[in-house]
Amino acid sequence: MNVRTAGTRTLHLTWAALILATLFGVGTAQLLGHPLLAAAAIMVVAGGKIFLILRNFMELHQGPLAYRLFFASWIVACVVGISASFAFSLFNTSARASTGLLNSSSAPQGDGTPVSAPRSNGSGPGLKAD
Amino acid sequence: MPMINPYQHVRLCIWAGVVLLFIEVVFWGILGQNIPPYSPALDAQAYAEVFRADADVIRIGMTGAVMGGILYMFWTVGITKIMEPIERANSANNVLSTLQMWSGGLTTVFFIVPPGIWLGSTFRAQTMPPDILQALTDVAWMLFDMSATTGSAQLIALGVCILSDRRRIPIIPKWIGWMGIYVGASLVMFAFMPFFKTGAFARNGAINFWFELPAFFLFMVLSTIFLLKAIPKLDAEYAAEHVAKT
Amino acid sequence: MPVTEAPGEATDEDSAPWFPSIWTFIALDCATFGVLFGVFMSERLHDPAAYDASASLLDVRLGLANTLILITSSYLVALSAAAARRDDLPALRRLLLGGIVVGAGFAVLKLTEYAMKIAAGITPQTDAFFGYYFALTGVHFLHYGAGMLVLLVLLRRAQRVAAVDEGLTRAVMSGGIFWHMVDLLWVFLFPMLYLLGAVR
Repeated sequence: MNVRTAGTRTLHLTWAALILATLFGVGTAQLLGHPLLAAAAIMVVAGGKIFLILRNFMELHQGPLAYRLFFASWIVACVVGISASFAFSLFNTSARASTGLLNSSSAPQGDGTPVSAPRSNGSGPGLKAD
Repeated sequence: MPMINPYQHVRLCIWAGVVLLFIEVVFWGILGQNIPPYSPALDAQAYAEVFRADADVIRIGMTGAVMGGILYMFWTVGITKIMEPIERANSANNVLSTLQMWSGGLTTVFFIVPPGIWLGSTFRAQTMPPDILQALTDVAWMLFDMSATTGSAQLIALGVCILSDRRRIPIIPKWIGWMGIYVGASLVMFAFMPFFKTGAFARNGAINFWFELPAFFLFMVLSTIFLLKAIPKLDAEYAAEHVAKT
Repeated sequence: MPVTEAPGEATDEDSAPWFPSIWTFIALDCATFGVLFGVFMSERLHDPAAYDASASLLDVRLGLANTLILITSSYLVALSAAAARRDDLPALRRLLLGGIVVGAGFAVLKLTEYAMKIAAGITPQTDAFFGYYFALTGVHFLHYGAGMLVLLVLLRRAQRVAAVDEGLTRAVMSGGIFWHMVDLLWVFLFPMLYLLGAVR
């Protein structure tokens, strides 16, 4: 069988990098000042981790170009899509707050409001949040 | 001794799958007002109003769907006859083709029974109480979506059989096998349907309607193409064996 | 090229490295999760404050521990594939067992987390966020269960043979690729569900 063996040293280094990146990602969520920067940093770190897993653990770099392109686009689409959606929600929330449309931290949603959330039967026990 | 044709009628059975797809889209989908379906979030009165307005067309659609559902069994038998020689060459038993046929046979039931329930609800739609009208639709949808695991078992058995083909050039490409396993496994997401009246997992939602059903139907089309292409290869294999024996 | 050859199903004579056909499944599954991520993020836009309030009820430490567990288990399984290609059967058995033992920790923590949420009255019916939380992590957990089963089958196979052969090596590589996918999907799920709601 023609298989180029992945060096175990590469695997050790990949594991160390993934662990460090995970800790960095969680630290960023707690510490970075600006929510948009923090969210973007978290998602970029996650995308980088996925690139490492695909390349070094799953050995995708030896695969056909079409698959490599597909997964590269998939990572970029997920990172950009999730970050952009988060950014949009931030701007949307602050815009609504500044125009007085949003009075509290949570938008009011009475029974008559069109429900966009998956649950609409109202039988749940409700959040135990304070 | 004249050579027999072990794949007689198989092509016809496999083509029946394409006819079924056409019937499902036109009769169940378009005439049956299921593309897109009525929202499960409507209250009974609102649902009854829209349903009653379309009841006559839905009755025609569901009649076609109930009558055409049996074609799924034809497709299933066609697959079985392609799986058997693959299995004979690679395995000591015929568990996978048997599992595929029984699961496909059961799936056929769900191409007939839920449309039958929808059809029943059109019969006295103008006089039936809204609550009952809506309940019948809910039951039909629960049966139609939640029975998807019979389809899962069928597609996964087909996929595993294709992957187990040890021929140097497999009768059906392995990526079709993986696709069957993938589509079969993804049907499990229907399990969330009873918990949602709106959103992606509701029966009219992005995942459960716009993703799951097209994925299943797309696999039917793709696999049909490669099942049909498998017949000449199996024919040639049979002829070679036959010549060798005589 | 005959149509019967799947893309990348290279034969031994070819000069290109062997590319397992399971990649078709991996690509389709990742695309599906991409759609699920998109659905979650677009539904979140309807009421981000409520989503963030619910997300803050998740225990980041449990999510973090599970990320570290899956990465480490994945690493051990990657090492086991390297061992298989060196024909090092004892190392292959040891590393596969290690991957399974570490990987089992994910189930322990995830089930504990589900139990804690349900005990606190939080279910898929609680609100939109938790509906998606249980659905997304539930679909991932099914993948995890399938992956653990694959690793167990590989270990059993490795324990029954006297030497590593090509079939076993290919099985370990293909099974490993599935297990790494379980890891990489969690690497996106963890920040999306646990961390985005916590950024301030």
